[in-house]
Amino acid sequence: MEKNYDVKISEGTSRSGLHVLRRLGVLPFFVFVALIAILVRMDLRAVFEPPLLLPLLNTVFLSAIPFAVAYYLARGYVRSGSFNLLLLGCGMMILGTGAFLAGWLPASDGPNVNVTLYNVAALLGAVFHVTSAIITSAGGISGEEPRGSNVKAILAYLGVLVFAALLTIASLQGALPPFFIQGVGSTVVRQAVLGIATALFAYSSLLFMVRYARTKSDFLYWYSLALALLAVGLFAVLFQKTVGSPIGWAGRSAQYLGGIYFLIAALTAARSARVRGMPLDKALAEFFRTAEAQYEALVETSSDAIISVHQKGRILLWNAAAVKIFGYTRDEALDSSLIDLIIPEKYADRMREELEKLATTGKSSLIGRATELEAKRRDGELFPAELSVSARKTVDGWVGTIIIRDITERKRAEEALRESEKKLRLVTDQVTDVIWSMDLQGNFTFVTPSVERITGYTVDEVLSLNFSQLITPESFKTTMALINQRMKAETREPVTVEIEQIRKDGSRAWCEVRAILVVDQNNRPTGIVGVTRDITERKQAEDALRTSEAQLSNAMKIAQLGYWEYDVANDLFTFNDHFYAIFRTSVEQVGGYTMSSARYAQLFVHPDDVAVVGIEIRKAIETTDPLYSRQLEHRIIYADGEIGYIAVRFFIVKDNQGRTVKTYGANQDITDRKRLADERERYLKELEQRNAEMERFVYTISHELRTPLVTLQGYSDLVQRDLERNDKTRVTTDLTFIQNAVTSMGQLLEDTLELSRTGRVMNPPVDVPFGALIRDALAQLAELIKWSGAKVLMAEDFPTVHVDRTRLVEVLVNLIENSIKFMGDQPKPKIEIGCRTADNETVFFVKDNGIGLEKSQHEKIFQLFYKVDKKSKGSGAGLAIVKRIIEVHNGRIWVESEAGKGCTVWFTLPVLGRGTSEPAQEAVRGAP
Amino acid sequence: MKKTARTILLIEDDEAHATLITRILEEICADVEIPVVNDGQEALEYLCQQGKYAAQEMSTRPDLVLLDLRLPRVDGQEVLKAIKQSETLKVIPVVVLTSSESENDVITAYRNHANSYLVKPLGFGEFSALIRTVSSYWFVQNRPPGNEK
Repeated sequence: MEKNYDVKISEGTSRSGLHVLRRLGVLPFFVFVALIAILVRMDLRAVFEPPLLLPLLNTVFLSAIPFAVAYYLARGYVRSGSFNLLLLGCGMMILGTGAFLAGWLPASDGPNVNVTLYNVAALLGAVFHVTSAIITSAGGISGEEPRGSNVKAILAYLGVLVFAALLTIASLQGALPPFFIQGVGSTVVRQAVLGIATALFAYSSLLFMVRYARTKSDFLYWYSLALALLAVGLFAVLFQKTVGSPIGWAGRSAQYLGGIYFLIAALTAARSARVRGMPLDKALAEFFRTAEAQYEALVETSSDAIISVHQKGRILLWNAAAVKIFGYTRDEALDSSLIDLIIPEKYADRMREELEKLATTGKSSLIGRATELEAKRRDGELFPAELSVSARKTVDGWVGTIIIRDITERKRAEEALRESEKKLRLVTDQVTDVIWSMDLQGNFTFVTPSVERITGYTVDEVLSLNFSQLITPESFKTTMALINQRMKAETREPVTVEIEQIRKDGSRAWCEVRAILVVDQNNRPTGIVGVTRDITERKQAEDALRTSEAQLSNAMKIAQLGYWEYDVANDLFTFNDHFYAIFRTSVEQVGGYTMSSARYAQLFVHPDDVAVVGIEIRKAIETTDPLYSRQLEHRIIYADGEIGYIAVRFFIVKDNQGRTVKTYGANQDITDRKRLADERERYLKELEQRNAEMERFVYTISHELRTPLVTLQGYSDLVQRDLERNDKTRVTTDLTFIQNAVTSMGQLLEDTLELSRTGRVMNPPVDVPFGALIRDALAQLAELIKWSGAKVLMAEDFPTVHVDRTRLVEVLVNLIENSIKFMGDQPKPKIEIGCRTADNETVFFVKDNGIGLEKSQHEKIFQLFYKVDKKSKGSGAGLAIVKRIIEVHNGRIWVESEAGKGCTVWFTLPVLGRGTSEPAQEAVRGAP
Repeated sequence: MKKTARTILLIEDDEAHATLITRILEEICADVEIPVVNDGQEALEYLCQQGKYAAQEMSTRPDLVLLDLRLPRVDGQEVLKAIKQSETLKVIPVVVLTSSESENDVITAYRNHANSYLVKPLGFGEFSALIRTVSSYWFVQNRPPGNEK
């Protein structure tokens, strides 16, 4: 019957060390059996019995250990109320006491008393043991019995002690038949007592071993072996003829070893108790509980419903879990029909079939495997259940035991898991990112279908690939370095890395991979999981952005553009590098990209334009037009102190209250443009001047040429007529006019050529002291000056000028000549030549005290062929030529004069050491 | 042709031209007085009876002015402007007779209220014909204001 209900209580003894020890434990038994067999045949007579050896060994191995075991057995009895524990304890007590007394009682009259005491104690101990063993085997403790009492245990042990005492007294008094006669050997009585004890010990040992075979309890194993050794030891004594003979010692040794085995049994019990978290005494009690009781306890504490059914379908067993799961009490369930009670209609027929099969053959398709079906509760509710069936044959026929587990929760959990897996699948199937895992060798173990979109490989293809085949060698190198570094690192943070993948078609794709090492409980890496995202487009966009930024930057650099923003609320400008580049400085020099408007104005804006800039900022803040923008130009100061121009174009940003919160714009350096524009303006002006001059010149020439032409034509006709009339006087006059006209035309041509040569044909300019030029001119005019009686005064210090020497002498000659020409009737003609420095400009002058010039004539006299006095000599080109020469030297020339008050002609020339005449005068002084 | 003597003021700095014009005028007009001045300043003095002409009688005021443009001291255009701005003188017809063909001069002259602008022709015949036309026009066809005598 018990065959089907083997209950194995784990004691946690599966450790290999103990296992080996357990195997070896049986060895000494056979050794002793062999040894004794040999000694019996040898029949050695030697005696070894030193004083005190026997008592000490007896005390340690056969008294102290049994007493200790007895103590715990007594406590086990008290806890469980199991008498077989108390019986074992009494056996131990009597054995310990007997061994103790036998050891220590003086053997003055031979060892008879000692032998008697020990043997009787052994017999009694054997009786106690065999009784206990039989009770245990027959059923032992059934269920929870009432606790045993301390008093009973103490009384029992006292009884044993009292018996031992009485026995001792009786033996000493010789009231007992002799057991051993020294030299002769054992008496028949002793042999009988000893033989019985031996047999009983052997039998109890056997019973315990059988029980061990069922419970696998180490305690029982060692206890059984200990008893076996005792039996062997006592058996050896049967053949002992002399106390202290070799065979006697062999027997004793076997018994001592038995004592040690008792100790081991106690220790394994203690260990088992510790493992199971219960006191040693309780654990001891547990060893002797009956299998039935254990079975019942198990059944009752099981969370699964356990139901036994007779082949006719009547319920024989209905455990607590069944009560709880189905809602029927034990009374209601017992003897009811299983099918009616808990099997839903739809399974009823099949179940009935199975039960019938079970009844006739003991077989069923339900046996030996878990079946899932639905079961019915008392309230009619159906629930998923897992059912397993076993069957056994009894005297009444086949009995089925059904274990039913309510798997509602498990089903729900499974359903939830399936649901969540479905969701996960949905996610992993739909994500554009690739989610993957791989082992440490780089072989993929999982990958989402999105992998096909990025790599072109299908999931199956990827799973057969190594990740090294999916990325470029460079990326592989970086990745491996990263993985190795991560493997060594303490932390298991995820890492992000950008790698280049190779698609199936060979093209490449940039991906961002975020991965983390997977580790086991011991923090050892076992694999990698990660997410891969295709960032090719992002990468391209980044590249494009970088390129366009570089282009913009270059464009700004080339265009000399600088960007800025102005935060109105904080009065803070923000500039960029290009902005600082315009001002020929850098952010390092300025110390940051931001500064207040005041600092900006002070650092960079030309002082004269600060007000303008301030007004513009205020206007931008105060405007109500959200689209307000301005363009203006103003002067700036470069970091090196030079002055330049910028063009500013800016816009504003308004908040929803209409306040200007920001202005932003770009500045462009237009200094060069401005300079070019100025230059162009100047050239244009000059060109216009030249054009006007040319026009005037052409007009003048045509007019001046026409005048003598008119004369020539007119008078040549007249000559004809006058000749016809023979009017000789008139002919003479006519011819004079013709001659004058021709002369005049010749002069005109000469002057025109001269003028056109001026400015076109120039000698290279030289540095020459102005005084030297005057001396040259005066030398040329020496005769004229002498004739005119004019006094020429010349200043002493003149600067050195950088001029065409010949031309400049011509200028001076012309001016001095003019002065002499227009001296009038001045009695003391005087000509003064000098220079004056005013406003950083050196001005030269030729001054006379002649007839002077009306204001209206001041400009006209420089016109070509203009003559104040028609009758005066010359064509009127002289001053035009002078003016031309001065202008070619970038100088200016003008007249100051009043009629009758003399005339001063002023002109400027390029002077060395611009702005100061001092060095130039030095040069003059230094000149010869 | 009226018997009354006409006065033509010739403002001409070129002696040859002045002589030529005088000769032509004397040939075609019997009774004509031709005072000649050589520069603009002198011309204005003549017209305003100032300077050396202060003692001159009113009757010598010219009936026609022949004006050259390029003149020393005061330019011909200035003289023209002065005449046309003077209440008493502006009625006098001023004919610009110059060798300048400059458009600028023509416009300026008319802006200054010149009555006519003529370019000195080349050749005596042509010159003569032009002067004849001028005198014929101004003294025969043209009717000046207040010419009752």
